Amino acid sequence: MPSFTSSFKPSDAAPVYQRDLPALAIGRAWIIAAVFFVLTLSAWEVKWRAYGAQPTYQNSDGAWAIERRRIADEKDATVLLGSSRVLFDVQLAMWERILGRRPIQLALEGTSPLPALEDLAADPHFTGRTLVGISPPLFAMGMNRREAAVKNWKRETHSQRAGQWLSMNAIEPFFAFYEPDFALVPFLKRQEWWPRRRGVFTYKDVRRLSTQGRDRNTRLWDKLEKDAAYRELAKSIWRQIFAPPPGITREMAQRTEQEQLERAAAAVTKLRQRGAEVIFLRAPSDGEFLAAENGGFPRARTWNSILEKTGAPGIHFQDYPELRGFTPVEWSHLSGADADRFTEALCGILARDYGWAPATRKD
Amino acid sequence: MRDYLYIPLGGNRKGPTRTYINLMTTMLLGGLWHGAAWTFVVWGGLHGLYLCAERFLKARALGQLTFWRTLGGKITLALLTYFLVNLTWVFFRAQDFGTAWRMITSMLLINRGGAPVLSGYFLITAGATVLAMLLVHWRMRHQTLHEEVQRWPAFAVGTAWAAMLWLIVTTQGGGNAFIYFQF
Repeated sequence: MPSFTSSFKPSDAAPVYQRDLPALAIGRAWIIAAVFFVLTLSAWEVKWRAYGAQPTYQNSDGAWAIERRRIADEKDATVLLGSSRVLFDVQLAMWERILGRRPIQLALEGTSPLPALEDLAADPHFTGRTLVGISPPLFAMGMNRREAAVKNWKRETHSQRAGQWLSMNAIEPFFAFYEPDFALVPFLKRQEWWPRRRGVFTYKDVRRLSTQGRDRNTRLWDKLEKDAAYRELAKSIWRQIFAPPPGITREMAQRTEQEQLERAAAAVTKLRQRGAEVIFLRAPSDGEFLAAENGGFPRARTWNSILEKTGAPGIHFQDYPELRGFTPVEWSHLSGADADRFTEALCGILARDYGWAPATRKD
Repeated sequence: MRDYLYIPLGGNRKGPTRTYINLMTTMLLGGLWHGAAWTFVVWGGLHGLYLCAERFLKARALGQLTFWRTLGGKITLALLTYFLVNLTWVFFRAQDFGTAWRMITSMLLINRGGAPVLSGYFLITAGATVLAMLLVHWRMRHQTLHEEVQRWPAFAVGTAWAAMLWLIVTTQGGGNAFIYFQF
C-alpha cells in the first residue's frame, strides 16, 4: 500500500507529493461520527449498569502511588499491607472511627505483601505502624501480580500523574463501563460461544470483585452477595488455583518459602530498628479455599514460621472469638457489612492488646 | 535504512556483486540495531537473503515467467512473502536459537510432540485478523488511503470513525507509547 513518509518518492500510485484531504463532506462525517459514538457508548454504559455495576475508582498503579506518596508527609501513619483480604476486609472509615486516624491502604490484590514491606523498610521517612495481611499461598509462593505498583511508584512521570488526575476526576466517577473486567477484549474472550480446543486448558481470569473509593478504601462488590451465579463463578475461579502450578517442584517451593521468610525478617528488623511497629494479620477464609490453604500451606509451616522468624506479633482470625464467625462470601472476602464488623473487632484487639488506641502509641 | 544505509553504501549503482553486499550489509545492520543478540542478526540476515534471492531470480528465467503477472501468480507471491517473513519473526521474538528452532519445527509440522497451547479464541481471532490484513493490503496495493476514502459517502466515513472511536474507548488499552519512540 503506497504511503506518505518522510522518504516519500513519487510513484505511479502517487505521482505528486501532496496531502490534500479527501474531497468529501467532512463536517457531515464528523457530526455522524459524534452522534453514533455517543449513542453506542451510551448503550455500552447502560449494558454494564444493568449488569449491576456503578462508577468506581480504579485500583490502578497510579492510585496506589498517590497513597504511597502520603507517607512522606505522614511519617507516623498507620499503613495497611497485604493482599485482597486486607484490601476488602479492613474498612478505613470504621478504623478511623475507632482508632482515631485513617490508615493508608497499600494492600495489593493477588500479591505478596513483601515487596511493599521492603519498600517501607527502605524508606527512612516511615516510622509508623503497619498491619501486614498474610494470605499463606501468596506469601509462600512470592506471588507478584501487582508488584509493578511498588516498583514503579517512584518513577512515575509527570504525564502519568496528569493522566491519573484526569482519570480520577473526569472519567472514573462517572462511567460504570470503565473497569478492566468490562473491557471489550476480556468480555469477548470469556464468551461461551468460542469453540473449545481439546487439550487446551483455558484459565478463567479473576472477575471484578470490588468497588473502590478515592483513597483506595475497597469493599466487596455487592453483586457477589446478590447474584448466586456470579458468586459460584467466583468460587470456580478460586478452584483453579488450589492445585499447585505446573513445573514447580517441592524443592523449588521450599526454597521460595525460605527466601520469603528471610526477606520478611530482614524488612521487619529494619522497620523495628527505626521504631516502626509491625503486626501480621491472618484474615478469614472459608470452605474449599481454607481447606486448600491448610493442605498446601499448613499454619505451622507458614503463619507460625513468619511470626517466629520475624519476631513480630500476629493476629490470626482463628485465635480470637471476636474474629471467628465471619463467613467470606466466596470463601475469601467478607461482604461490606461484615468487613465493617470485622474492622471494628480487629481495631478492638489492636487497641486492647497492642495499644493502638488514639494518642496512646507505644514509643 | 534505504536512505541512510543502502544508498550511502552505493545502492545498486556499483554493479551486481556490490548490490548484493549492500543489501546484506543493510539488513544485517538493521537486525543488529534491534538488539545485541545473534537472533536479531539472523532476522536481518534472512531479510537480506530474501532481497538478494528476489533480485537474483527476477533477472533469470524463473523470475520471468508470465505466471507471476497473473492474478494467481500475484497471490502466490504475496502468500510466499508472508510465509517467509513469518519465519523471520520467530528469530526476532525468540530468546535463543533453541527456542526458535522449536517454534519453526512446530510451525512446519515437523515437531508434532508438543501439547496444544492456543485456545479456540486465539486461533480464530488471529486467523481472522491475518485474513483481514491480507485482504485490505491486497485491495489497497495500487491506491492510497485517501483515494479509497474519497469514494465513500460521508455517512460511511462517519460510521467508520464512530466505530473506531468506540473500539478505542471500550478496549481500554494501556498508555504505552509507540515502542520506537524510545530510540
